[in-house]
Amino acid sequence: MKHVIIGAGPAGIIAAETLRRADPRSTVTVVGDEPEPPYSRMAIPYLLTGSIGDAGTHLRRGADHFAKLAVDIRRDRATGVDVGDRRVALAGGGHLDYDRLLIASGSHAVRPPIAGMDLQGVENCWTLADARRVAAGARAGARVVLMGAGFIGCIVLEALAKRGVELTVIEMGERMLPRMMDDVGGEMIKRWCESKGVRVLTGARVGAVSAADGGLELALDSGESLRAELVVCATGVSPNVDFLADTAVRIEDGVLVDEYLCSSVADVYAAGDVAQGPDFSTGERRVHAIQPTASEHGRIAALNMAGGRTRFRGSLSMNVLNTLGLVSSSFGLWMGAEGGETARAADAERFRYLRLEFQADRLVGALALGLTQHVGVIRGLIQTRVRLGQWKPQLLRDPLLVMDAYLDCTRRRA
Amino acid sequence: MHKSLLIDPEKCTSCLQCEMACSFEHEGVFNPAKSRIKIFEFEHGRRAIPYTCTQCAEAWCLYACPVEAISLNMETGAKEVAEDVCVGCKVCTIACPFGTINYNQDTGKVIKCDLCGGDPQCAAACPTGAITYVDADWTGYDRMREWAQKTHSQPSA
Amino acid sequence: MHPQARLSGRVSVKIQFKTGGSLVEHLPPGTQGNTVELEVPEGATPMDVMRQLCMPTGENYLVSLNGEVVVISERGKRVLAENDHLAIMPPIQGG
Repeated sequence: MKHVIIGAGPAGIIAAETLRRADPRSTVTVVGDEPEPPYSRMAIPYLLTGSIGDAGTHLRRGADHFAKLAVDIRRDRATGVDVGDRRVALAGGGHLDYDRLLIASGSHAVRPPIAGMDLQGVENCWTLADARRVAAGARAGARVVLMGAGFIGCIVLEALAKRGVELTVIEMGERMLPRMMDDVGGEMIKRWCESKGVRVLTGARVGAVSAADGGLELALDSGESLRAELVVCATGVSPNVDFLADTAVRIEDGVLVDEYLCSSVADVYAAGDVAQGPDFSTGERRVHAIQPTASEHGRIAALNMAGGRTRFRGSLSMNVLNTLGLVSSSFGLWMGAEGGETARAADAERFRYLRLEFQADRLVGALALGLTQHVGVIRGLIQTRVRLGQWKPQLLRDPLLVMDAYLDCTRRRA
Repeated sequence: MHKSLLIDPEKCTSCLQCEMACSFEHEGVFNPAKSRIKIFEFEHGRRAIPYTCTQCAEAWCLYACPVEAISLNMETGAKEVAEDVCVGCKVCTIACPFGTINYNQDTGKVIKCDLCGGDPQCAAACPTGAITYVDADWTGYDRMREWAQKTHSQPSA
Repeated sequence: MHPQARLSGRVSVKIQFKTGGSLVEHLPPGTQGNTVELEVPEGATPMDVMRQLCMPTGENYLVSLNGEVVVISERGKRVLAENDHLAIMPPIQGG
């Protein structure tokens, strides 16, 4: 059996390792187009702060890890797939034949359609190569504008601030983290950042970027103009699917996959950021471009490629973020469910906030700010659909009792 | 055969000796706030539950880690955090459905129970036998492990 | 059908249109959810639909037609037919 995996990120690598165990006699080839050993984008902010070196970002320790597993990692890029002949065309001119194919090609950073975004000094912060350029430009005292205060923006924000740059953050949305935080949480994070000396403009748009005095000038829609030596663009990512044009592999927000992580074409699977798979909370198919989903997708797709029949129960959208020392997390339907109920506890002075969302007597979503201990139980409660019974009215009054409710409910249930 | 921590909440008097022993073993200070085992009190202190990692077979933390900082100790069965590899991204803290791996703001790394390499100090310190370290097969398996299984196999919808 | 979703005076085709994220605000007023039936002039391309809906016509979207990727160079060329399913998805935020 020949397994080919397109993409050497967490989903692809975990799939390769799982295949090696589940289908020992198969050949496993991973195609990755970056000039590095397989690494984790999650680690990039820590590379920027200097707390780790390149090797600290690597997915696996030991130079011979993949050789020992007989997993062939090839540096090349897939340019097309012939699903009839089961063949992947490569940019280097060669091709790979497969029996089963995993598309784990991830996503790429995209820039908004604004004039001047292609100028020198405008960088993404998505790949290791990007990070090295950002590091070179983000010298202490340099004026840096960060475009985008979503999850990736905020995680880069922390790293940039630690480098001692003069930082301005511009977010188009009305609050920071518009897709991970509500108004209350977004406002707290903004106030927190400002208290640490970061200028934050929300509801702000850049009209154009131009070169000025050896640096860059950003004209905002508000009429203000900003000078910067470096502009870091963190305005989102888009799945790498262009090489699937002209195939029968169905695409919408990513590669559509069923509960076995199989695409619309037999023997073609997808995992990670590129896959639009079952969402635990809604049952719809969504792209959850997050590390835990990449890992779960990779493992389950591989088990099925190896001939198993393992069902994926759906990924829970969740994130955890450190913004200059303020830790925030979000889970599931944090914005609320239809016909559901909400509990909130906020302490604006101490930057603490907990919001719980219920449907009937089950927890379906949550936001937490300034809480770092035992936050995982929120996932536990949501994903096991624990009936909270008499705890629900108590949690509506005081959501901070969530750990007590968890222990009491799970002890009684088990 | 691996051994595991057997917790009997009925015997817990909430004396916090386990938390003290844990923080001293790992952090060199007697500070319950830095303990990897935690006593939760209910009913105004009439009931208490010592709570820590069960070293579950699913190892959610280990699989969620993007930099392979968490590994299985083959001798003890513990999932251990390599502090020099952990970057502090905290993904494991939301991936673990038991909330038993947590972020330590002071070090910027995550911490969890590592069974003290096979000689858990919480069990040694517990004066009432509420926490014991026993062969995993005759504990009838910790109820939390059953629950771990449930997290994995609960049918959706 | 909302009047803004219709272009008058020419032969037109009806398509099913889906979008997401912040682009939902470009859907005709009154649209429920993120999917809408749109009437577009015969010969219209995905790029024309973006213009019709006043979306920024950047290259940072994922465009698919009946489940098939439409690469950037094809977005102004591919002609839409009756009952086509067109999806234009904005960038996503990872984690």
